[in-house]
Amino acid sequence: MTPERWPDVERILLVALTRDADEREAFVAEVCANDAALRREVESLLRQESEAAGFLSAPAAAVIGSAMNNGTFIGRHVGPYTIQEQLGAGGMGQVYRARDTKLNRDVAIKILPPVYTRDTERLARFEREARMLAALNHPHIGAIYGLEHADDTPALVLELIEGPTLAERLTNGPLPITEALGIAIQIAEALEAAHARGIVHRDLKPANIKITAAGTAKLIDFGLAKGLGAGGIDERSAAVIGGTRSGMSRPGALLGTAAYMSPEQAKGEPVDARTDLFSLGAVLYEMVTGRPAFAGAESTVTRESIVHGTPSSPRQVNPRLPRTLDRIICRLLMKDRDMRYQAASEVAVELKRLKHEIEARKSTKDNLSNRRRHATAGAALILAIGIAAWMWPRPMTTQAPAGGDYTQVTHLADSATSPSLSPDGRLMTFIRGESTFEGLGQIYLKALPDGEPVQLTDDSLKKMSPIFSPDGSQIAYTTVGDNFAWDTWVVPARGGKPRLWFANASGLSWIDERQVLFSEITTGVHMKVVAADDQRRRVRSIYAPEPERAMAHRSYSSPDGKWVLIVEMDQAAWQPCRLVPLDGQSTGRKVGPDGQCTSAAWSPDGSWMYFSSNSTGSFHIWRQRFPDGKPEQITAGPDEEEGIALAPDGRSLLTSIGTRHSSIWLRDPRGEREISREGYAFVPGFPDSGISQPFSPDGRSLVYLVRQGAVRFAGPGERAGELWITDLVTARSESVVPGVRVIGYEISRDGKQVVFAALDEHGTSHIWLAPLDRRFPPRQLAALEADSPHFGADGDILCRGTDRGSNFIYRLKNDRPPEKAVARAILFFLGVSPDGTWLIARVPDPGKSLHQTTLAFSTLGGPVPVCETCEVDWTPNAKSLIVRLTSAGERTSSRTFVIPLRPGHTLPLLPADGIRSEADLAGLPISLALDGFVYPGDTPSLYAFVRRTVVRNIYRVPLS
Amino acid sequence: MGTTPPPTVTSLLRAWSDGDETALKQLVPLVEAELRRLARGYMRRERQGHTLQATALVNEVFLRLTDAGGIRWQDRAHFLGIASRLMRRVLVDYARSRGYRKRGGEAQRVTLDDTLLVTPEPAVDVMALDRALDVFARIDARKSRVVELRFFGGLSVEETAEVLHVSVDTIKRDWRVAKLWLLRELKGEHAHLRATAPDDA
Repeated sequence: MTPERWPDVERILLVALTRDADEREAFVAEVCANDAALRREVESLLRQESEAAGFLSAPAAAVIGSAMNNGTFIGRHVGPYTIQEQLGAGGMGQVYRARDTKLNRDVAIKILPPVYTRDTERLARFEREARMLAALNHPHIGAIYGLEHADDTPALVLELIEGPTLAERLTNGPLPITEALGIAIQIAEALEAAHARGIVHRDLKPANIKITAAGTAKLIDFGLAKGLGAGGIDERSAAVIGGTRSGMSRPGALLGTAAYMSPEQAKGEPVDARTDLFSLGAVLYEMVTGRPAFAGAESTVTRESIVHGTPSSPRQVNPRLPRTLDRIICRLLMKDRDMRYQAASEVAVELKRLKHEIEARKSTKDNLSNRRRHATAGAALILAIGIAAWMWPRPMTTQAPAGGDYTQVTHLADSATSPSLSPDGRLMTFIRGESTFEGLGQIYLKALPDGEPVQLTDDSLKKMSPIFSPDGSQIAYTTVGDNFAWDTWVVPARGGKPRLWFANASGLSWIDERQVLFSEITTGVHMKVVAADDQRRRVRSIYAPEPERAMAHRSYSSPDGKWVLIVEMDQAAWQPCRLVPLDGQSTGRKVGPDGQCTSAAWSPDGSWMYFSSNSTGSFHIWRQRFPDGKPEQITAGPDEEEGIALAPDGRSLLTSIGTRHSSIWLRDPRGEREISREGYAFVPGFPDSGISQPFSPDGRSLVYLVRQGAVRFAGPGERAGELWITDLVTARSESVVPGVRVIGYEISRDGKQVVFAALDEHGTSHIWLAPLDRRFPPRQLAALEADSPHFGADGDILCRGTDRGSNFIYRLKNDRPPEKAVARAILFFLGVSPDGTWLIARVPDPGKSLHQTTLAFSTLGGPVPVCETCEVDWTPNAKSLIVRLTSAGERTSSRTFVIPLRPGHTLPLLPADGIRSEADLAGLPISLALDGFVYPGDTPSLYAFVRRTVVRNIYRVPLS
Repeated sequence: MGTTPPPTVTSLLRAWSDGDETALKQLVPLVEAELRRLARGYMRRERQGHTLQATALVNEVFLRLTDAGGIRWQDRAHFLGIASRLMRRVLVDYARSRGYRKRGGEAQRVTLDDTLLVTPEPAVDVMALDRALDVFARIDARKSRVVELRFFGGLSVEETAEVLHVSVDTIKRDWRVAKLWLLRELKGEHAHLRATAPDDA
């Protein structure tokens, strides 16, 4: 909301505030009938009203003043306690460490601020409460030893618990599952004990759980707790704990921390033991996923989301979680408390059972067999739904020599990649970050098998390929700077300041104690592999890839120092790995499976070469006997494996196993919600295909593609998915043409048909037309190889087809042969204006080589420049143009603009040269500007977007 | 060789109110120390059943720091306005330093309810409130000022009206609206036109 709108907002707000609460909504709706933004603004302010009374009610000085009274009590005696040092302070009191001179132990003493003790009656009640809480004697509850007086000020004597709070622990990311379960079990037991005495905590959150050095969890700050009715402590006295008269009349909703608050608390309803169970669910959720259940990446926690919103299930966030845990957490987080577990003891039992199962499994069976089963089941399902030639290719089954079970080595909710082992195999370094190539992330060190990962770097450089020095004391890694500077840094394995070792040196590895292999850029981007000593003297060239834009990124010398395995890229993509002699006398030959190879390794005895390759469509680990064996696949399944670190004994390897998730989300005035239900759901777009609009023209449905498993860098099938449609009103989802590999689509303006491009068994795409009600089977429109289909005027179909190596826009009319709609060759076909008059395409910019420009072609006149490389589309109702500007090809830095159109027009008045930058939008009537790559609907508050997550963890794969 | 006498609090205050930010640097520690000292007395009196209005605290601080006779404020309102602004700086600085002190220099937000007991009001992150007030000042300068005077300065509605030369009713309305806006801002529930979409890389 711009400051100019503020007077309107305030005016409406002030009137609304004079109305009764139940009339306000109607009033605001009426006044803001035509202005959704204004309405949203006013309503969001009105929602705060329930909290306004207490907010800022005491002046800052009164609240802070006593906290500023630092050190007053140090050295003083309170009962048998000698106050030693201050541990913390806040507006509500100061906490000191004190020595219990009788029992010779340290305690914590909390001195209450006078504002809570002014009223003698209130104080008396408070003391009674404190004594009741003191009766709670449990190993997992921070004890209240008693109440003393320092001068006349009451002071609570508490168990001193050294160690971080769970909240502090969680700043380092999620906990390993078994540790999280251990904590949750202890807290469940603590709750069980408290509930048995009729005490509900009411403010269970990570900041109220302390973890001792021994790993014991202790629930603290029962201060918010209120007695349950039966215990003789009624609502009224609970309010006394609240310490304020207004607290008595106000519902319990205001007590407790929003993010972990139960729906009943958020709504101000009475609480009971099950309230704590909800909060326990929220805490457990955060422990295993690393993120709060009710805080999205961009929206702050609100009670609204607790009452109405559903968080992603824990497994969606961290697919490695056991299903049982997912179920337990979801049950704890039920909005309706009758649907939750009814007692803490039940939860404790379930959690313990699960923990035992996991621990038992850890040492015995597990991974590979399960993974194979999934793959087979997937294939069977595909057969059942497949239609002849359009079938999804059956996953390739290869004899996998890996024996036994995988062991999970890292347990992150985000990603661990690029594992590398110390020479003795006892330490592992890895990058915590998404990319298996060069990407943002930090270098970590982990002692195997169970050490806590330690972060070694803390900077914003992109990183790649960490590796131990031969003596294990240093870790070298590659950084990639903004100006395409590829440098090698080293950081002590014990921790310390990273330092730049060699500039213009990347993918470094050791040949022996004194010699290294690395890549150097000679000219432009041409990157070749060289060998040198560790002072970078005696540099000699080992291998330079042929084309000048090619880059040899990684190299690994054989244990006997005679050969090098090389990972390289041509201009655009990874190539198969290459084996070259270390004497640099030849360019060697390609080795490993015929696919893209992103990492390689040698067995310690040099008899095997290992590769991660996507020759079957997704990345798996392969090996080949040196020098001329046949490549054999070691890992398989729906996940992908990249990065290889061989154990010194050659009997296992570490690799990063990952899954990518992608889902379709809708944001509307109620908040964000996930629309797609399963699989990898996405909306096709550049550069894989033209633009597809996820909204149906009536705005009622979202249309998107879903693919099972997560495939990346793969062949033509990579951009394909099954076409799905979700009705936003009924929330019903269905596959439109089951089993068909669709790469692009559009719904007709009457909402009755869908035109789509689908891949045949050779990976060639053709255009098909199908009725949405599925009364007829889809029919192929032409033999032409084509994609990017769009509806034109008069039921024509327009698409991008190829002719002698160039792309053109073709018109498919009835059953006539395809004809070129525009004579000029294009690069991409973005779409057709809703009235069929403009064809939007991206063409090579004749003025500048390698540049592109986007033009609108029309039968009405010459092409009109639209922009350089924006994406153009229309809102479902065709009343606005959508322009997405993307800088440097990264969708992350996209912005989406909505430009309302004059009646009867389908394009706004564009600048003469089109929109070259955001500045060119200044003259246009922008109604909405959104950060990110989103799909706006018909109203400003509605848009769809794709949310992608990558989860990768490092596993140990045994080798036979 | 003579020494220049240290500038008096009064002259510092005046320099600051004339826009000299360096004067503030010297002023803050003086005020904070005095505030601390008074807070001790404040606690004692509290226990004896006296109530102490925060306004009185502000007044007291300044009366002690400034040679009461020597100061020539344009009027009482001017003094209260300056005092409130200074209180805001002192209290925010205090909260900030406290936050950095807590755990090895690692920033940690200080809320005013980090305690065993529930506060009579929702937690206020003083630093966040300070930032929010700056944002609000760009949208509605007077309301932002009302909050500064009322919350940081501890002024009554009437005193606030006096400082801002508007009616008591206006202050009441401003106060009510400002609290709603700030509550929303502190929760991050922006209804701004610019929304953000998640990573779509």
